[in-house]
Amino acid sequence: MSSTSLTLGNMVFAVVQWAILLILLRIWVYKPLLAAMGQRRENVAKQIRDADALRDEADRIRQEAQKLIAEARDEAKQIIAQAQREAGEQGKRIVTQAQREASYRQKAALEEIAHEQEVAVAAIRGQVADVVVAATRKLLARNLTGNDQQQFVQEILQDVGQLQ
Amino acid sequence: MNFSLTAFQWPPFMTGLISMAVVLAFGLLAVRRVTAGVPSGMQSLMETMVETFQDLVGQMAPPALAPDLTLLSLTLFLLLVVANLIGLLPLPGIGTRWLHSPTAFLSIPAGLAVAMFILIQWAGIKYKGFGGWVYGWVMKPFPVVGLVVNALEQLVMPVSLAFRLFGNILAGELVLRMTTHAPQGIAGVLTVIGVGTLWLVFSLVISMIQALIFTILTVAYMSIQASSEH
Repeated sequence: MSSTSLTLGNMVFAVVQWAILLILLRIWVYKPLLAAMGQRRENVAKQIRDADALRDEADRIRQEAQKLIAEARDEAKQIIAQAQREAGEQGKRIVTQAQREASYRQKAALEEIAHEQEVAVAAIRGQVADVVVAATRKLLARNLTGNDQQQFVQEILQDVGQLQ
Repeated sequence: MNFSLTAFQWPPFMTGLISMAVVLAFGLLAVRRVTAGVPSGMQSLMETMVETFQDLVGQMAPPALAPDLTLLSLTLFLLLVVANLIGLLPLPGIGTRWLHSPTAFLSIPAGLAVAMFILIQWAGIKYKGFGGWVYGWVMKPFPVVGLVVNALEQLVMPVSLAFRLFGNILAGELVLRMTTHAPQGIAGVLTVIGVGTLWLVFSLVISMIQALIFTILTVAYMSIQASSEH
């Protein structure tokens, strides 16, 4: 027996040991290993899919947010414009009202002045009439001289001056 | 070279069992904490080898044959690598006794080559049908004459597989042992250290290359048989 001998037993053994090793490795090693590799491949694929979905979702949300911001901006502009318009109108209304009130008061004051004036003039007229009556009475009662006349007029005038 | 039906050689049997055990231990260590997450170093190494063989076989074999052929060839490769390397391990304390590679005994590569030959023909029958397989044997490339051509080609194939592996491994071991029989003195020491080390490194590489060649050629022959164009 040398290493160049062909022995049937050893030839069969060579095949059998390879077959046994193949079966054992297949059950204990290749199966779990290939399962793990497949699982990992699936996980990676799933993570990529998830990431894609998340990115799409983020894109959608961002676009929505931009739309909302644009809308809010427009609305703010409208509100400001409306507020300015309303403020202007209100200002005008206040000024108009103030002018109207002022003119009304002015008119009322003028009317009151006119009324007071009439009352005063009427009173003066009444008193002047009394004084004239009194003066006439005195004049009729006395016979007047030139000097007396002068003095008399002075007295009447003084009376009238006191009436004022 | 002689042939015996009854004799049995124990050294290649023992080292064959050791090779098997080593491959099995390596495989089990790789899947000890198998995970789909971050793999351990051993699992990573095993996965790399599986993927390498998937690529290698995928390039040659028809898709339906590829998954089975991947595991088959990877197992063969692992077994042959360990079997080839075992002969390079000296046994300290047992004097000049060395372990012999099982593949340094012709019976082992020859047995494997015969098994591969049968597998190759099986692949042909499976993928071309029995009629197609017979037709391929007899009628290609020329009617009837093809049988002679094919018989030569197909029979040379396992013989060359067996002798290539056996010759390389046996030669590696013989030359390595010869370096230990160097003359006494400084020249002998230099021979052992220089030539011995160089040859050891060379043999390590040869062991792995021969394991790969045996495996790849088997895959290639099977793929060729399985394809109908041949």
